[in-house]
Amino acid sequence: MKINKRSEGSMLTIYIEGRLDTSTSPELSKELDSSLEGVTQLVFDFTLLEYISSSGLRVLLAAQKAMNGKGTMIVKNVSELVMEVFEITGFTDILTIE
Amino acid sequence: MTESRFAAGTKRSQQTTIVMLALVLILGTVGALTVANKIVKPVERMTNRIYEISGTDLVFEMEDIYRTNDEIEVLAESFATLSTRTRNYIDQITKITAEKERIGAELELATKIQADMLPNIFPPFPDRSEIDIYAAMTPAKEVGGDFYDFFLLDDDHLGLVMADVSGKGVPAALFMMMSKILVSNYAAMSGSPAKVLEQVNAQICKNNDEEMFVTVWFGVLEISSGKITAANAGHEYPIIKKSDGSFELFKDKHGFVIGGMDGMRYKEYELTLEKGGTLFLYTDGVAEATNNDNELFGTDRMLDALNQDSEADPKTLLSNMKDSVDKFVGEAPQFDDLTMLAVKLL
Repeated sequence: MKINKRSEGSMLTIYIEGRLDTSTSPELSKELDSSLEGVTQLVFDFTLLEYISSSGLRVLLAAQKAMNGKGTMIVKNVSELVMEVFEITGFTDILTIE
Repeated sequence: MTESRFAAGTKRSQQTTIVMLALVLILGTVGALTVANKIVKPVERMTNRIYEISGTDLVFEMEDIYRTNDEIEVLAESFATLSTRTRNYIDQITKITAEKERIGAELELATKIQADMLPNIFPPFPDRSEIDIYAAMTPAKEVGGDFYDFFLLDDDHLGLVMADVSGKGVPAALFMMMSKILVSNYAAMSGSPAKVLEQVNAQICKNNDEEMFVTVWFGVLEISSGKITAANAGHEYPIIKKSDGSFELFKDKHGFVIGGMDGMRYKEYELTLEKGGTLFLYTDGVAEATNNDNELFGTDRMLDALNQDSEADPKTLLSNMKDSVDKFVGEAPQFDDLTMLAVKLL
């Protein structure tokens, strides 16, 4: 998995490439812990995300909770496979997916 | 006269030569002994010590005999450092090995405790000839976060649970144990699946700083009519087979995972299990089993595996599925827990 970040003022875009699973999600979690300070608009770009497991969902949930009350979080360019996971797990109800 | 003078001179020379020779000899011996003391003795001592420590003792310490102010002293010092380091490493490895063995033994016991938590005697209700159930959980590590459960709520109602905790290993297992108990306890109090999931969610959200969550499918089967009332908290679609049909995905309504957000509401729905029909529940470890090319097993392959002998009893269905998954995965390691449950109405 590769994580790329682009920061523009208080907007942070995170691009994730590869698989977000039990072995890679702690890295994303750490990355978020250290970079959400002052961010009011968090965007996840999942164009290159191949797979997401429940551990990855957990990190997204934590990010959503961290952003609740201090700004917005948007998930965009979700592939069909990842979208199916969001639908099955009910994450479509709590995430803003574009 | 001349001759006697010559003789006397020769004698003096002879004496001088002898004295000089004697001096050289004495000096040489003294010199050799000094060098021997300085070089040979420390080296000899070192060799003996090294020979001795090759056993169990392993202590080579600096001694005065090696303080020769030259290469020997350097060599001895290096040996002493090496010996101390080696002993430290051995001590550490001994400690680590003991710790590893302890953890291994504890995990082995934990595996057994976890397996014992799930109903694992089949047939579970020998006197109920109208239902045939089989279930299995294969954790990817020693312990897992998946669980299945089934229990009679009364003579005519059978509770069925399939669940999957986020993550794997010990953290998931701890969360799994709690979730399993909460679901069965609330189920015993209220027969409404949606209400049970709401109560479990409220309870789990109270103390969940680690943001763990669990996906749960919970259904209550009315044995006499085959009517199933169910609710789905973010879990995989159930698979159902009508009496004369083939296995198909049942795309049910999905609520959010349990433990994710406080105050979640779940919707209940109904489906019918016909006589001769089978309900198959599973976790994503089955659907997302991955081969060496990073391909997922997927629900289409699952349906194929079930339909190769769709009239089979639950135990055979599970074994067909396991074989298919194993064949697909090949040499790739089992990455997620693999859990399945099938119930057939006879």
